[in-house]
Amino acid sequence: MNAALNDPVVLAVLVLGGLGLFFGILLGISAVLFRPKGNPLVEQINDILPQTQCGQCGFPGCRPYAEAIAAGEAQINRCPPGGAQGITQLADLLDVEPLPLNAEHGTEAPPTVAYIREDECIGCTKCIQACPVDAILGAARLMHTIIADECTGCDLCVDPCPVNCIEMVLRDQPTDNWQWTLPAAPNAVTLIATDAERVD
Amino acid sequence: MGTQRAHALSPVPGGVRLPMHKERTRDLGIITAPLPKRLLLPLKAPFGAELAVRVQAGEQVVQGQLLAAPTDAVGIPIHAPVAATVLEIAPHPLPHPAALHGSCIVLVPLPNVTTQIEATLPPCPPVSSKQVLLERIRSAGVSGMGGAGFPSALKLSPRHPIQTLILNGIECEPYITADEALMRERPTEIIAGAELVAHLLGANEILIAIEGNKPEAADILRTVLDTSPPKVPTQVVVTPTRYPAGGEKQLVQELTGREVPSGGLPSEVGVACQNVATMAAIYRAVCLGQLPLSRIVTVTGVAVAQPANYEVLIGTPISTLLAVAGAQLKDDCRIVAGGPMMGVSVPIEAPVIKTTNGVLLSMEPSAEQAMEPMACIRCGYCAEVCPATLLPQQLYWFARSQEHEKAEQHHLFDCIECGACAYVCPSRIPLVQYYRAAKAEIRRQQREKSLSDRARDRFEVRQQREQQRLAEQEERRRQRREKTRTTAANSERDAIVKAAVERVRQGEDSTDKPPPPPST
Ligand code: SF4
Ligand code: SF4
Ligand code: SF4
Ligand code: SF4
Repeated sequence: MNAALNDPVVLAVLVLGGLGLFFGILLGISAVLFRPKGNPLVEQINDILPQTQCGQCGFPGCRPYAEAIAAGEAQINRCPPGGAQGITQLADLLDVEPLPLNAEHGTEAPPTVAYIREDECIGCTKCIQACPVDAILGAARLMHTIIADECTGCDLCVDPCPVNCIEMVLRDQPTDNWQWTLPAAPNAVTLIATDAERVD
Repeated sequence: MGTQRAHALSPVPGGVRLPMHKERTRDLGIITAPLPKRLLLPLKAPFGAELAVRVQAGEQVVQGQLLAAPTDAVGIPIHAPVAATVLEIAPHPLPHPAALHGSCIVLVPLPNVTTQIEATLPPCPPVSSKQVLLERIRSAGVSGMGGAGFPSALKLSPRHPIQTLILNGIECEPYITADEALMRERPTEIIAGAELVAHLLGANEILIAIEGNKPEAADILRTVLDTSPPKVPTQVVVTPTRYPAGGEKQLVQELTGREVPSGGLPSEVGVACQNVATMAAIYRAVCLGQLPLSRIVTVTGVAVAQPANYEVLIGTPISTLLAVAGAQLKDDCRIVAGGPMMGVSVPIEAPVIKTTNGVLLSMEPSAEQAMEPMACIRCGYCAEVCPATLLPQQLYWFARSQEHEKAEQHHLFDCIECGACAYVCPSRIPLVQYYRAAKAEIRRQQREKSLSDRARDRFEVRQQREQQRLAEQEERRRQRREKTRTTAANSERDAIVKAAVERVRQGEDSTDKPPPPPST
């Protein structure tokens, strides 16, 4: 027994094996303890989607679409509110070629917000049930109104209204929305000058 | 002056020497501009929510009357600069680089009134608590008169303890001499204001920073300090003439040797920076009861016949001011509000606002306009002069290719947009515009992100609620079913028992056979 332990080969095997076992168990435990919640890819995709929750992509909300993309069941070009920018971001994330927006699902449009013509509202609460983000305030047989700051402009409340008193209006673009733009590319210089000389 | 030891300066990175062109206006003193025919007071302040308008068209207002009150803590109230009639509340051009229109209160000043600012607040009680003083500064609408125009009352309530108050009298922009004129003409107001602010902040040292090209101002301030020394140790510090010495972080580093962390405020290293003009405004509001209804504006430029520092009512249209200064306007002239380096081109109809320290009229197209930008040659001059030790050419590439993440990693948001890099760039690349565009785009994306995060949270909460509601419904339905089932079972058993009882009774009558046991 002692003789076997004194043999450096046996000792090495024992020590290394022991270490391996120890770390294996440690890894196994931490894999269970710190398992990421949900599918991280779905979260990342869902982070890029605009959360308008409009269903234009053909899925009941942004997360289901994110799940479909992650599972490879849907193309990345079905979300009109996200537009070209959203598609580029998705393409970057998934490392695929960006596609043009699929027109079947709608076209990119400026941001809108719902507006209830309040004197026509009969208080049926149908729009409240349709709004995915609780942006409508009202009670049965009382006037309803939109909390404009919370409205994502998803359009889902328009159809359920029996008296058609909801319309989508363009969001105001107040002065603080103005921003500096990149200078118009003067002569489309894309290379540094010294490179250009070398290329020529 | 023997009491003052020379303050040791720390070296600061970057900077350029610019032709200063200050000689045309610096010795002329302050001229009070005549009463204009119209005053435009924009409702949209750089900070805070929309103001609540307190007057209507046609109403007569007296000097200092509150015209619009803030609706949140950051808003700055608007007061009538003079007695006037309210003409309208309508959109007018703002002093904005894109000549945007914004809602303005338009006043027609009543004739026969002086432009002299009178005391419109009751005098301050001699011994006032800090709270009272701050409230007074806030309600007087004093805001920073040098930089972005942040409300002073907020800037004077920092979260960190302050040891040093730095008065920024650097005025490193060429052409502008508004602060210099103020320091030379009203030094006592500045020092009295500084003392007050030092008391509010609990600072135990005041440093008045003046660039080396203003020796007269430094001498005048020193004389005032010697004849009536303030309670807080105060000294004048003359810094080398170098653009942009007046950047807040750069100034703090130069005077105290402390580096303000990236994305942080000077208060984090125990320093507060205040513009000298703001000090005078605070003194007037607190000690004299005068609202900040006017400011000093340098009007200059090649085509201006009488360039000078004018004391101008807030809201005076720039066109009026230029006419007063005898400017020859031509079609191709460019009007810049602020200095030539950091100012912006504004429409001529726009009014003077609290932060307008200069109005420049330039006839010739600026150097950048005259020369088409060329490719970056990676000369590195821009990195040498950057006061924030950034890599301007890298930032330029990232801004151009919209690699916002990389731009942020290279500290885009530490760029103070001083324009030193664009000034030295041999290829005349409008670098600052790239940075401004990139910053604006990043901010927009962040705003959108926070909106969509919010929508997601609301959506998820709603989904949870719906699920819970469905589950509860299901639960209720199940309970109801169970109940009917048990009642049905009960009635069945009752029927059997009844039948048995019946049979027993009948059996008592006939007694031929016992009843069968219940089958349950
Ligand atoms: S189309 Fe876009 S915004 Fe609308 S639900 Fe689908 S992913 Fe969300
Ligand atoms: S209010 Fe209408 S448009 Fe706005 S989020 Fe709700 S359902 Fe969509
Ligand atoms: S100074 Fe201009 S040309 Fe030189 S490296 Fe900087 S951006 Fe490029
Ligand atoms: S504008 Fe920005 S990048 Fe250019 S020198 Fe000034 S701080 Fe540096």
